[in-house]
Amino acid sequence: MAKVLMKGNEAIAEAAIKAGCTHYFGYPITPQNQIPEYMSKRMPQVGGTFIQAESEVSAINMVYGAAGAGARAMTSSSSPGISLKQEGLSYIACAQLPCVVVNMIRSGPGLGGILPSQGDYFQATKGGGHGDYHLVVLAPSGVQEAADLVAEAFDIADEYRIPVMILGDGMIGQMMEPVEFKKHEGRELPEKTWAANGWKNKNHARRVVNSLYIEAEAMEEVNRQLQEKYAEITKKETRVQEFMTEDADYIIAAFGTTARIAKNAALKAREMGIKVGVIRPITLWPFPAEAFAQAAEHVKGILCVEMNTGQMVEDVKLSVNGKVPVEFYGTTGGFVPTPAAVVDALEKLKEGK
Amino acid sequence: MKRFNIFAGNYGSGKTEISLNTALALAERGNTTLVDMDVVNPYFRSAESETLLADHGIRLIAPPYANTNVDVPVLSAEVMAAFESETAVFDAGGDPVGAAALGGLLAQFNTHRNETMLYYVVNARRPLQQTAPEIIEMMEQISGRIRLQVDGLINNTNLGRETTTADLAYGQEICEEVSRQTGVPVLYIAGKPEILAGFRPQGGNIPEIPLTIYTFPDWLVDDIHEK
Repeated sequence: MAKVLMKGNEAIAEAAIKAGCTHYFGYPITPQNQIPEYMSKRMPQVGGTFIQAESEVSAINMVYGAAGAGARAMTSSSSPGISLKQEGLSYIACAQLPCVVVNMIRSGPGLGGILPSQGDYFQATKGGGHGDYHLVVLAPSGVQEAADLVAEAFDIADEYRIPVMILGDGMIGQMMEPVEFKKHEGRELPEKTWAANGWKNKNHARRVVNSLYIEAEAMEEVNRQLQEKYAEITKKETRVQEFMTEDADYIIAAFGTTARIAKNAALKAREMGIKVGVIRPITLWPFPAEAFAQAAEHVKGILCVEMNTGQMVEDVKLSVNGKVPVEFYGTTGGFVPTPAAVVDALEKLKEGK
Repeated sequence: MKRFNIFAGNYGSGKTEISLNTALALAERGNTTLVDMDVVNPYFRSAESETLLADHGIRLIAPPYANTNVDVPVLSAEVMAAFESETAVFDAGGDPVGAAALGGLLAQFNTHRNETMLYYVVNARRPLQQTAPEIIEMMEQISGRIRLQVDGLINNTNLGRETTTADLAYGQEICEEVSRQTGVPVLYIAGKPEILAGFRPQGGNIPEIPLTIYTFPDWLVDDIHEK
């Protein structure tokens, strides 16, 4: 198929349609509005369902229902809207249902602003809602990768019966890049023998979608199953990209669009004679701790760059466990770090300041 | 180009780049104003090029909250000043809702109709805008909200940094089909100079708008892939 020029938001929506998403529920918020807008045009063309819900809370609970019936369901929003979805996400995680949720982060906290940010890293990777659960969190750094990861997200969700989040920033949502919708090499997925899609005249046990467990033993068993699942996902689904790390003396840790800035900064630093590489986590949960632990064996220091006040840097520090110094450079308010500022921060790290 | 030039088109058609480049070209001949009429799109817009425009003496009139953290779709009353300028460029919003703001200036445009051109910019490599019927439907919706007839098409078919002459040629065929069905002539072809040069042997004598790209930050241009 010929390439097209798409905004990240549009590419994510089209990729979801191509991945067999039949149910989209959303509510408008900048900078992700092109997702519901695109879905409202495309879903009727493919016989799917588009609903603009009355609120984000409503949209995530519609996803809960559609996913419970076995449909490939998706919702999207931006930071404040994702906060509203947290209760629903916790329920979906407990009920062990597959779905895809997109967060195009905007600056915060509070109602914040419409400019890009990575301030929802903690919320996405450390639970977000109540209880012991995780989402799988995928962080694309370009429009093509966003499209590719959506297809993966639906497969991961179905394979493990887990909600998967595509975590972008407003920049990914709004920027336009060429995209090709390649044929997705799908996984062999288990049949949805748990889907509550009608019982009449069917010869199987009653199927119940539930997240209420009054008995302690039953609740403990759900937690055991979840933890077992999380361990398996950590083993099999962790993804990371390394850029010029083989001979690097310093590493920049960055995810999403910030990783592109980091790569440019690494090239600039190399021109100045500082050997810098980049480690870019693609899965933010599970976090690629091993890549950082290995790097810590041969580098002199790590600089974590984020569009927030320092969130992923905590996971980087845990991964290297004090072996090398880990410093942080970040921007907030919607400002995007410049390669020059990242190089300055690298020089400070090098000089031990 | 006439005195007042309106560039309309769907998102990603390249209105903003064409508006910036046209304003810079017009500024060489006299005082010019660029009006950013987009009340929908949050990023990558004319108003981001404030410094560039100021350096060339171009007056920028933008929604007062553009490039801020506030998502309020309002226009400044200052837009009326554009009609006193020697030349002006109007960068429209990218969909019927975004373009509606221009409709509010109908009386002014009608007063100056003979010196006003409404161009519809086409990028046939955009999703849902790749066939003549899709383009015509969007063009009619947008021009309906602007409340002016489209005077001419501009073929700006591109794939961003991966654009080739073949993309431009493909877009030209589509634009000519749109032209056959609507009677709106294809007046210009736009693109980076090297792409335009590649197309020239097959493009005939169609006037060109050579583009310098201004709205994309350097670090976004090269997505460096895994080595």
